[in-house]
Amino acid sequence: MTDYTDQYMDALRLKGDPLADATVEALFSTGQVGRYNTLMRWFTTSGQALPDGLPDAARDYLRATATPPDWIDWGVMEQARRFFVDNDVHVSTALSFAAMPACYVVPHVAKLLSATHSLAYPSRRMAETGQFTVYLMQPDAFQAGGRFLPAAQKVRLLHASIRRHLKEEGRWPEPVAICQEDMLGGLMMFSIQVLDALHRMGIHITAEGADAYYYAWRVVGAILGIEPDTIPPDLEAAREFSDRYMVRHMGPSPEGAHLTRQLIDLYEEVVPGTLLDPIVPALIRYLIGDTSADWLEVPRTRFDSLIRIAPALLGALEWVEDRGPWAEQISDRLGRLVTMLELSSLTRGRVMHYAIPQELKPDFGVPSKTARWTPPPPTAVSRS
Amino acid sequence: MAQSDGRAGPGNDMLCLAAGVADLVAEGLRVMARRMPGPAEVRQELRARGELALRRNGAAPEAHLEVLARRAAARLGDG
Repeated sequence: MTDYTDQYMDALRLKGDPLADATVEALFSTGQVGRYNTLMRWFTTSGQALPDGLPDAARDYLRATATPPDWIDWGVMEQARRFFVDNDVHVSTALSFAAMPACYVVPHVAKLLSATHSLAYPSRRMAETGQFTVYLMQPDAFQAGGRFLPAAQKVRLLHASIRRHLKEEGRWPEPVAICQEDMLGGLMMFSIQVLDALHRMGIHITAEGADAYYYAWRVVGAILGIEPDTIPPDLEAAREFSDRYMVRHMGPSPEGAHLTRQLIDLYEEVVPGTLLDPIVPALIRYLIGDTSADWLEVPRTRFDSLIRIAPALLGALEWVEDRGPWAEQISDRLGRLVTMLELSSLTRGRVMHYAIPQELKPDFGVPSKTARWTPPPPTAVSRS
Repeated sequence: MAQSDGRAGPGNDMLCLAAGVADLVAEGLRVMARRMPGPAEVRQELRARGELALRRNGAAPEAHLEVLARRAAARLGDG
């Protein structure tokens, strides 16, 4: 097993994603980003012919990355899909309330997300991540007609363009933004740390299910431009890497606290009414623990102690599911409905486009609530 | 013709059966009511179960991220 020493991790901080970086560089230097974005809006599924008039650099990149890695084991991927179908609500909950705060508790990641502004409107980021995961877990994810690979190809270029913008503007204190270490760190948050959160919620998962779920994310990592040799090969190695990464970088930051507040506000809007609003911060605090929650300024609420019975409630739900296929079917359908409602409230029914931003702020900035149109006041028309 | 000793004739079979069932149900309800705990006992029982459940979950290991955060905090303190 690789020894994840500080020296090893430091070396990963200097590496970006050469293929995607070169593609983005070529698109920008020839002024073809706008054309790429327009044409790629219509390119959404695997096997679809590439649009005519696509810049050469983009065409070469899309051809080189059109297939999943050749080492992929389809049997394990099918196991992962079944794991996701069985646990979709729980996995979505863990992604939202544990994995996203875990991103914010790494100050330079929080700063990056703030700098790119994509999280000044957190539902966009959540929508993109959520839709990406749903695409991944479709039975045809990697086949002709599947939506996952084109989405991943676009996300990889999106990352490369953010890397380029931050470097050009001199706004990033390190040599490489979204470096290999941070991409691996992110992969850990969405894989092993989601499994940690499921465990804390008292969800019963099998060792095979956990292995398969992690395997699927290893595949995703390789597709998103992480060097395959550096991806921890199994959950044991992932634990080692994830722990090292978090301890190296965790800490408080104003950006992390700000993004967390926005995440809480977003979910309080999704949960109908205000009575249950305190559940959102309580669940985050329960899943990530008091130290991180205090760093992120997650408010303390009257639900903090009550949330500790969540595993007992989920256990009762599992007991009902075990009563028979009808109960399981009802619960599965309800689960899928909740996930779809959650996702559609975030995406507002749109398909996320993952375009390359030509500039950072204008493309990612979103009008504030105060910018909502209101009818003009009555004019002072004198009666004739 | 009705019999003087109070026993129903064969024509009243259905009536007797119904009365028997009703008596059995009533007896059952009486026994159940005698054995059923009062609201105070129910409350006490639920509370005891709740305390046990909370203790069981309270004894669960800490959030993994909490363990890491304390290590990171110690490192930040050192730095």
